[in-house]
Amino acid sequence: MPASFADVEEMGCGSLMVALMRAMREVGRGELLQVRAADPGARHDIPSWCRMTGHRLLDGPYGATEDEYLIRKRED
Amino acid sequence: MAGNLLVSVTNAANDPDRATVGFVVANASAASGVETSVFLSTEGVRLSQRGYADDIHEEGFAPLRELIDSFVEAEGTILVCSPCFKKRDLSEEDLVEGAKIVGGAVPVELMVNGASCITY
Repeated sequence: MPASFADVEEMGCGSLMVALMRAMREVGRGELLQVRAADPGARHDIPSWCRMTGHRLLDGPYGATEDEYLIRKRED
Repeated sequence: MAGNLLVSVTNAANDPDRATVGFVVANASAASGVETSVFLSTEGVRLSQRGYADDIHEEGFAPLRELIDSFVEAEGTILVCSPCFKKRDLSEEDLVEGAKIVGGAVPVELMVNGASCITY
């Protein structure tokens, strides 16, 4: 199943978390969200956000510029 | 996720940097699924008034109006210190969406029940 995609560009801190929350609302349970996040804090914030929300970080940061992430939405 | 966070915001246009960053952190918390309350006290209560934050845009951050709106969208709660509010002659009719006026018991109860607190 192809992943939904959200490019949150340079958003960081609270704006990044809100952007992730909004993007994940559009994703079905258990489905994938691919994110591009270029803020330097994202490589720590996105794993932390996944631990808090219960979504699963499958991969990232990866890609040519190491700013992409693949997240599976929680099932419940 | 278990736990909740109380973000105490004690500044408004007098210190837009602190007021803004308080709501940035509150957004990070609420949008991460953590039960989050912003407690506005002293000068911070001015942020409870509709239109007050419209002209506050600290460089490097989203406009404060947007941050307050997204905090409410993320199901955050805005608590407004009653005596601080009354001292400044502010209007209950002009409260922003999601704001409620409370006495000290509400934030104290949150903290004694385990909420962590950070102050701006």
